[in-house]
Amino acid sequence: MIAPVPPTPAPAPTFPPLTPTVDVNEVYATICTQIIKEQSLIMGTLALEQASHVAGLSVDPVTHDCRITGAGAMIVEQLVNQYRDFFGKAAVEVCREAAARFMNRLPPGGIPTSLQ
Amino acid sequence: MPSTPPNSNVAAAVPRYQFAHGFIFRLITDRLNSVIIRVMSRKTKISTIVASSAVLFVYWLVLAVSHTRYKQINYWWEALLAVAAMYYGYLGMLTARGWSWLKSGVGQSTFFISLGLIMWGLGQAGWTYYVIKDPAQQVPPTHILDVIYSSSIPLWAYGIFKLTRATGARYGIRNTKAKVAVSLLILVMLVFSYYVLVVVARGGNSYFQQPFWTIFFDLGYAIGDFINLTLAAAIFGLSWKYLGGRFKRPILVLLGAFGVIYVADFLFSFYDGKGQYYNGHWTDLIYLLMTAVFGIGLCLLDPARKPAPTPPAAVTGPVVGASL
Repeated sequence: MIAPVPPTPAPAPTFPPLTPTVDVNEVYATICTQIIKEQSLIMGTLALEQASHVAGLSVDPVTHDCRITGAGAMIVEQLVNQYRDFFGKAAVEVCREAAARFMNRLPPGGIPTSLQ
Repeated sequence: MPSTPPNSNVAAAVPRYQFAHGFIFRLITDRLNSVIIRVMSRKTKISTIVASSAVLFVYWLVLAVSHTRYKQINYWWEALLAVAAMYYGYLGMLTARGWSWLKSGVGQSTFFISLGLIMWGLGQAGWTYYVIKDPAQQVPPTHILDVIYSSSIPLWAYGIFKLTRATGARYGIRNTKAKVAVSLLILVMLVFSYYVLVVVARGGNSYFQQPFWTIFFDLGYAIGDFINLTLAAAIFGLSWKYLGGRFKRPILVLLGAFGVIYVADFLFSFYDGKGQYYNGHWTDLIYLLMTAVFGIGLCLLDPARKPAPTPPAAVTGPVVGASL
């Protein structure tokens, strides 16, 4: 007599998470966008030109929307340092002010040193 | 009757030679601009300013040593000062191009400070014209010149104000201590300016017995100087902790220029009030210094850098497996 085959358990249903998870690099990209926009008000197209020197950061020349490939915190840090070369700590303050709104979206320990 | 195209009436109203004129003018100015922008690096522009100022200084020195006064040659020195101021202002305008003209704070600042210098130069040119026309009047009594000269004051004030964000002065003032310090600075500058400009240079309260418009045109410029110097000093103090980087020095030079013009105007008022001023007086040297400092500061703000030399191509051997 053949023993009855027990029914295979159905795979556990997967539900989308209740709160949408945001890619951290997207937050860094938004921070870069905001920083570049604010710096553009001070130094014009030079802000874009300086951003183009940062490896791993690509910027849309019209909308200033950024895309990041690599370590986001490092890229933001490099971007801030580019502007620091122009006006010193004053430029860092502008970056800090621009990024302030997005700091709470970053994981603890993920805030770039110059923006702390 | 010949038929006329609908839109040709406007063109027909303007003689053809005017089009040619405009075209040739645009061709020359555009060409000149592009040549100056391409040929004149920041260093070349500054060297030009230093060299032309040195020539003017030597010219003045010859006049001073030979005790030449009230001669046409003195007035031509004043004319050259006007040309120098306008030329330095023009070089400053070229700097604004590097900062996206009026689309950025530093661009606006550079543009308006340069425009102020050009307006000052125009005022100086008008001054020279009147002095050459009527040498009996060493200080032309027309208010047109006052208006042209004074127009530089709000332009400079706006220009310097636009620097507040780039220098970090806006962040410096968040501190309560800084607010108190700025209030004190304004008070001290007000008392100091009243003392030197009214009591010392203009003989005190009796000065106010003159007609209103005389006081307005005479003191208006001095008050403008006071506002600009106070603004410059406040920015200097508030940005002390923040300003740095490549453009710290040019900004400090520009702020310093406002100190120089304050001194120059004070000395002019002082000697003119005593009836000792003549064209080519040593106080004119301070004006020369002012134009040179403004010009150098503006040119130092030029963000253009020499392109880095192209690195030699790396010698690479044949890539193994590349053909696969």
